[in-house]
Amino acid sequence: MNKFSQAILLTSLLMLMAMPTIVIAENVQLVRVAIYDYSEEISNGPSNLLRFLIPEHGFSAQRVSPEQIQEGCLKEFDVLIMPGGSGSKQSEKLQESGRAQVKEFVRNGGGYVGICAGSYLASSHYSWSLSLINAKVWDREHWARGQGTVSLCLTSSGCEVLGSKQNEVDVYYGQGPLLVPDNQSDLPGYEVLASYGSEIAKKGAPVEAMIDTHAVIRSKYGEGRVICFSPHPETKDGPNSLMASGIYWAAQVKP
Amino acid sequence: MRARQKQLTIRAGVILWATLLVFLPSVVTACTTAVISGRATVDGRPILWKNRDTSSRRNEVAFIEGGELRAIAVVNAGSRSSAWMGVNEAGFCIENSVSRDLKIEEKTSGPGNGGFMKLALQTCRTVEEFRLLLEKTNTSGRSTVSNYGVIDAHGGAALFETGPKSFKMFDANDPDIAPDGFLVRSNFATTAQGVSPQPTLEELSEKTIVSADRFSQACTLLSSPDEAGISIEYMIRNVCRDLSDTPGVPVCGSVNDPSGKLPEIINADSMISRTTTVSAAVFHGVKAGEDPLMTTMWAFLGDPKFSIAVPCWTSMSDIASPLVGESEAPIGAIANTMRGWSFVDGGNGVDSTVLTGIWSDVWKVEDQILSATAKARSKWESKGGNPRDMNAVHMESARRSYHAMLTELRQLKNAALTIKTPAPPKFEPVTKTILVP
Repeated sequence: MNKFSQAILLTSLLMLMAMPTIVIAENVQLVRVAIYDYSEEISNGPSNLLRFLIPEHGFSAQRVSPEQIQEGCLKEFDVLIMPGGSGSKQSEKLQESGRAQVKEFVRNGGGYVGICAGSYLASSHYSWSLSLINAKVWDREHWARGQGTVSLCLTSSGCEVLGSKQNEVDVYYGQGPLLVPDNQSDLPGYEVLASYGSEIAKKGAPVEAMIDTHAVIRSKYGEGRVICFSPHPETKDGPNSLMASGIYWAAQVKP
Repeated sequence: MRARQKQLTIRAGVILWATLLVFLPSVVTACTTAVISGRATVDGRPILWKNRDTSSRRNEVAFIEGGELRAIAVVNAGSRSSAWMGVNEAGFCIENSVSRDLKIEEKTSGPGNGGFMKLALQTCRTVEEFRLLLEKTNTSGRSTVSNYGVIDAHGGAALFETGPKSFKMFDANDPDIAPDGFLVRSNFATTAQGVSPQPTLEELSEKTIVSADRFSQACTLLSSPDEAGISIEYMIRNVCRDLSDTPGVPVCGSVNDPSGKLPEIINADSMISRTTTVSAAVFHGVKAGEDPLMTTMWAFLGDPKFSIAVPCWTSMSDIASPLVGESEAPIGAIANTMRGWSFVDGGNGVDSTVLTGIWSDVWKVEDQILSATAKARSKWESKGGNPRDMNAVHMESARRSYHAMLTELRQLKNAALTIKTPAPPKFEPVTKTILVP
């Protein structure tokens, strides 16, 4: 090996050691992400997600419509993201056949990432929800409790899965579900990755209702992985790494 | 003889109840109310009561100002255009129950049910002045379809079945009209239905009348207290929170039959403290000659079975913060959170485990507030009261009530977070995460 080759090798090794968590997309299998989008006007979620779900970070993402899901498009993807908006509307637009497609996709090993409305949709609480995770929504009477920045308290699992070195992270909250365990016997329990360390109590919502409820949880549905984010780490200037890591975890691709 | 009568009453009630369940549609906006003359109460002072049933769940207590008389009332949170039950500085109190059978075909204009109560609170000192206001507005215009219950500071206690252009008064002090000293109304008018002013169960069972079940149950409850008469404590604890699934037959383990254990699920849709009850008030009047400012409004924000009663007076300088809120008052908000959490079967049933926890803790505090207020009122009755004292009793009662409710909220949330649930799956350690710069 000549000196030039040795220098190249050394530089490459040093780069790899210095940036262990950055994924270089070249020669790496990209995670194929479907982002549900039934109406761009209601949610900024898809556009926020598309900013960083890019090949440079190891993702190939595209929007999918309710109709495409009904037609079976999910088999082309590793993970489905249900972003913010309205959980009941998401469900309504999917229709029964779309809801069945989503459940089958996850049951067979596809990943599901719920964000805000998408977590309401994944819960086992509502007649219209998908029951992908054994979770209920606390204080649904005041679901419209306002928006703002809140503090997340990450568990050790949360730090591991979401790639955070800090166990307290600020994040934007936009009226997502305050998650608590359900006890449906046909679903496994969930693991808490983060709880709310502070709260939003506007629009008449009672104080102390939100603090300590679960903000990020994970479980399995059949062979698939399910992760639900009540807040919005995907917003511009938000802790996007948490979201990207959660999506990557749900996708179950081999590194 | 009395036992036999009671048995017959219960049997008639059961038959009536079954008939109603089969034939009657549910009423979205409804209420159960009573006007109680001083001759039927333990202390000789009149009482007025309303359990408010409506879809407007978020209520608050507010001053009604800008009129001739200052008043305090339960209103929809953030709204001052209507009052749904209240008292003014003259000791005049008013509540209503909607009665759609009083509707007329002609087009109507003028204040509606709640707007008219606001007007009455701002302008009427006595039952007689209220009657005159009705006479005046028979021609000038109203859009009311209500049974209005009113009491005043001179012993007046009456009920008015009030359509848009006519009304009929029933005097609760008249033994011929109200033999037992009270008049109950739910969501029908006796004038519209062609029954007597205080119809018997037998009379009602001959017809299919909307809300006759709650009417009958309220009559049964008001006939039930001991010989001494009806008390404020009885109204607050046993009437506002009654859970009877047939008239005269309370749910086992509930306040009117505490001997047994509550069933797991209670279907409260047609009970007095029902699925749609959003607030309640019991007004404790004064005797003729007493200071009208002592007239007390005991206000529940939220369904009484999930909430606590707080005493309010029209002379207060401020309303305690737990009872006010443009979007929702804090005590009502907690009651609504607990109510929502207890709902099962799409809201038709109540999970009773939530109720037992609330009752065992909150009612102890309410008992202390009732006792402290009774002591204060007794002092005011003999030595005269002043607004500062009333304000102090109100503030302290609200503070203790809110603390009790907040404690329940915390306990219920902790129970929700620690429920026994299946174990989560085991996952392999994470080997890769993504850093978005």
